Amino acid sequence: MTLRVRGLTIDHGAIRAISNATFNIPQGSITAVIGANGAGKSTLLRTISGLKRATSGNILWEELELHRLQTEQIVRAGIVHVPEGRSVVTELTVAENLALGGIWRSRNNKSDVLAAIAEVYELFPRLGERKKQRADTLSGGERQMLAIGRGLISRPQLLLLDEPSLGLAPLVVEQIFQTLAELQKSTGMTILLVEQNAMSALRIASQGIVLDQGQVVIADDARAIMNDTALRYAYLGY
Amino acid sequence: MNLINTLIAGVSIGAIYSLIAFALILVWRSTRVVNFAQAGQAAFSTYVGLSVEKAVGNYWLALIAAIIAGVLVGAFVEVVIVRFIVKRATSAATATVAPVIAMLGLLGIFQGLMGLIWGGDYQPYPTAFSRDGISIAGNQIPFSRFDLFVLLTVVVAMSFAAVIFQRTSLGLSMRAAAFAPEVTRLAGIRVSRIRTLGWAFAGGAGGLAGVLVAPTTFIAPNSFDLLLVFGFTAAVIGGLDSLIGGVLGGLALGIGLSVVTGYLGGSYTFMTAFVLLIIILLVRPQGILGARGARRA
Repeated sequence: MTLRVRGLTIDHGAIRAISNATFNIPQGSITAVIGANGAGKSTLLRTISGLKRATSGNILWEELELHRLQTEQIVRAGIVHVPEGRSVVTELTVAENLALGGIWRSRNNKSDVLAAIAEVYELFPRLGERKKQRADTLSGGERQMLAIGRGLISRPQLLLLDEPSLGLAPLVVEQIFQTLAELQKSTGMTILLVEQNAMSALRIASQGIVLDQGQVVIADDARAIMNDTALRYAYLGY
Repeated sequence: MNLINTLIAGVSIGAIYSLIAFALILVWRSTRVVNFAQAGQAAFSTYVGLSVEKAVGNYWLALIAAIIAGVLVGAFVEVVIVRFIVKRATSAATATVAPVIAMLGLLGIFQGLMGLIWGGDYQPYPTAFSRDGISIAGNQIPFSRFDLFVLLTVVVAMSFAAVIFQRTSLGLSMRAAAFAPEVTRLAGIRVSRIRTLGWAFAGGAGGLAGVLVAPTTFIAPNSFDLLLVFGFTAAVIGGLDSLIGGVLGGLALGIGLSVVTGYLGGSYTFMTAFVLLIIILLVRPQGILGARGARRA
């Protein structure tokens, strides 16, 4: 399953957030979308997951036209969005947050939901130790793990991750990125990763997309972007 | 003995305030709308109950009919009106004000409609049990078999709600949608459907409250307006976001107002509720139980 974005334009009121973007996210890849603050990265993910409507253009998931679907339908099509800011339901416990990600498919796949929950506890053992704790008692890193874990319970084919490193200690970031890379290898899922922490993201990615003021300026092999000093200096600032 | 009697007298009306508070909080949590039309929805449901009672002469069928009517009217109001008002709100200010005005307008429409269908006169509503005070060791206490029925019914209804909220996927979805609608949608849950269900449950609770209070207040198009004020006060006492807080707030308010009525006289009751409401909003806007963080707007 390839995600194809064609001529996508998104407006935020009077401001153009994404302008005529065209790119592919091939199956089984990790694609890093990088760019400065305000480059339109989060808006792009919010539009793919149906939280925001595009002004024009198409988002295609094989024959499905995602730009016409509701968020709940997009989740059912196998695309799961974990927004920035460690988005969990702070009033619920760890176990409840994970259960939430499986409700929509628990009627027909109850055993697989339970298996997915067990896998998340295996992947992030610290969540297993805190099952009954409310999510607002977790550390920032644990909350980010819970947010990703909630997404995994829906068994995504395409996981949209927004700034998983935001505000976390470098060691925790390293751990989360390593886990993501391993997860991709073992499940074969596709990951679209939006990051300001460009180098960490490119290191685990196979493809990179650089956004600058709403425009796709580069879509290339991740290694090529990392090695291109002039490009890095121009768009990533170092 | 006199004080104890006064306290006992407030329990069953307090339980009814709890039900209304529960309905208001459920709607507030699911849509961030204070449903002033709840008084009209409850009266409408009670009229449906009364019509069934008159047609078939069965109290229990009438009770069930009133609850079902409440559920349907609640869902109808959300699907046909509230959903669009919330969606059309373009700024935070209109998102706050528009639903309030719309719900007040809807209350007026409900009352006009009920006047057209059932007339404007106060009509009696039957009870299932005696309303004479129970005698204990030769002393009659101000607590009747009907009061006991009211209290038990509210306890059963609240326990039922607690089981749904704490033990089922539907309850988990409702709690999640109340606190983080966007995360809940991203988890694949149809939040708009969950909202409709919240309004439906609240409507059912209002219908039940109407049937339980109508033998005391009688039923007229506007006879539940005061009940709404007391229910809202109870909800605010509990912190607006906490279902348990609202239920406890209702009981506390019922008993407290009974003491005011008993010692100062009935003309102080209404005023006391308002004074209490304003004091709580000034001193402790997060409610008595709402200790965790500030109220979410």
